[in-house]
Order: sequence, then structure tokens, then C-alpha cells
Amino acid sequence: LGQSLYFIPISIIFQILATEFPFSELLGQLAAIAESLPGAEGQLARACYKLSIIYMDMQREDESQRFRQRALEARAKLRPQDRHEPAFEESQFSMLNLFMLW
Amino acid sequence: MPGPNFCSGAAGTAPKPRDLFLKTDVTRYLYEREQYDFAKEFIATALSNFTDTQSLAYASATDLSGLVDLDMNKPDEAITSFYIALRVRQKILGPNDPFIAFSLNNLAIAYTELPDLLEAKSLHEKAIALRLENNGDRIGNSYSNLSALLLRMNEPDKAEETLMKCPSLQDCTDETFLATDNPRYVGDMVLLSRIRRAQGRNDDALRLASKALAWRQKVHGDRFKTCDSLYDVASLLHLQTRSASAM
Repeated sequence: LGQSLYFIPISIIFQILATEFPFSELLGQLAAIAESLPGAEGQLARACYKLSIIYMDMQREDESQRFRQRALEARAKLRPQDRHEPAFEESQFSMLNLFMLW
Repeated sequence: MPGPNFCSGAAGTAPKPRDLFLKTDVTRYLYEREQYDFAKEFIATALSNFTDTQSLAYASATDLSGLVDLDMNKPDEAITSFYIALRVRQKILGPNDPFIAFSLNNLAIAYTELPDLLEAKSLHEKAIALRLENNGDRIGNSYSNLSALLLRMNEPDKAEETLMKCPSLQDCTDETFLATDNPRYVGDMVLLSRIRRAQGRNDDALRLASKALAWRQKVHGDRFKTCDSLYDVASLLHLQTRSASAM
């Protein structure tokens, strides 16, 4: 992840961007936790996917692109064997995590 | 029921049964605290030290290894472990013991995650039949897990009906859930929240998901289950904002 041109610690992005809506604040918290938790790439990828969509909705292309890149990097780390990049859809990021974590 | 038989090596070289029990107990603690990497390491050491791989203690340790794999989102590896445990138990206990239902239930959860939903359903049905036959106190666990499967099969109403068959949830409403202070219900609360969302009752889903999040933050801290609940609550709030702006 550190090799990416887009790399900025999630916690910093979160501080800058997460003031607008409570859901983006929660996702920022989630991404910051997942970033520091071994084995939580699936959680990180899904949170960054959602943040990308949220900022796309807000027509904030730069932030959206930054989170999209982080989501794709986290997914690639988790599934390096995937030859074809799956669609950028929620279902594809949800399947990186358990359906039900009891 | 035969007792466990761990080791037969020379004194001073073979692990003592007490050590293996301790490793399994530590693993269980680490698993419950969501320290999966450490849990995996401990259980791998414990398993490699068993000399009797046909004992009930070995089956329990293998089962635990499967549960750790499952929470690490490795259902294939979990299924392998669960089948090993099942075969050992069947050999020692026969086909109708409550421990067989325990194994079948674990397999069903893993197949739900795979996902092979039909296989999961068949395994759940067998586990439930056994638990009812044995009048076991784990029947609620089966109904909760089957409910999650039904939700995954896009049948939220059947999922709710099945969840409410849990003896501890008889006559339970959303309000009862919200009023309880018992964190043992948090898994079912997360499930009910997702059922409500699938039913289009997003406000009810949000109330349940928020309470589950608060509990998970308190009990687990910054771990996987908290991440999962943060995502649920954030997604529901996002939906709410989208709906409001569409009006």
C-alpha cells in the first residue's frame, strides 16, 4: 500500500474529510481500525469502496478516486490470484468479508 | 464417553495433557477476543502435539481451529477441519450424539459462507433434527444460524420467523432487543437488523445496528466485529441520507 501514489494514511484523510456526514465519519473510523488490524484487508477494501461511492455522489472526484484506489489495492492484496479485476460493485467488496460474523 | 488420550512419548519430551488443554483454552480466549493470528498459531502448536488424533479432545481442538479459519474468512479450510472433527466424533460417539449436531452446525455455517447454500440448509436441518431429538439446549444456536442462511437466500420473512423460534427469543420484539443489557444477544441483534433492512424497514434496522455497534465497541474494542457493525450503521445512515435527498 505504501507504494501507491495515492497513499495518505486513512486517519489523516478521515480528519480532513469526515466532518460532513456521520456515515463518512463512521467509515473513516472503520478504515482507520482496519488499516491497523492484521487480516482486515477485506474490511478496509469495503469501507474504502463505500467512501469512494459517497464522494462520487457528492461530485468530489479527487477524494472518490483516492478511496477507489485504496479499495482496489486492499482487494488486490487479499486476492492476488484474481487475473481479471472484478466489477467495482458493493457485492464484490462484501464477499471479501464474512456474510455473518457472529 | 471415553476420556482423552493425548500422549504416549517418553517422559520429559511429550506434551502433558494439561499443557494441551491450556493451549486449547488460550486459543479459545484468543478466538473470542478476535486475536485470530495468535489463536491460529496456538492451535496449530496444540494440534501438532497430539499423539492421539482419534480422541474427542483432538476433535475439539480441530473444531476450534476451523472456527478460527472461518472467522478469518477461510471457509474451505474451516470445512476440512470441521469434517475431521465430525468423523472422529461419529466414530467415538455414534451418529446421534449432541456433539454431532455441533459439528453439523459448524459445517452449515461454513457452507453458508462458501457459499453453498443448499448444502448449508441440508446440514442445518440434520443438526436441528438431532438437537430436537436430544432436547439439547443449543437449539437456539441452530435457529439463529439457519436464520442467517435464509437471509442470505433472500428470504427475510422466513429468516425472522426462524430466528424467533430460538427459545430465548420467544415473544421478543425489536423493543425487547433494544431494552436488554445482555451482550450475548448481540449476534442475533445484528442479524435482526439485517433482516429489517432486507424487509425495507431501514429505521428499525438502524436502531438495532446502532445498539449492536455500541456493544461491540464496548466488548471487543477496535476489532473485526466492531468494523462490521460500523459498516452496517454507516450504510444505513447513507441510505437514509440518499432517501431524504431524493424526496
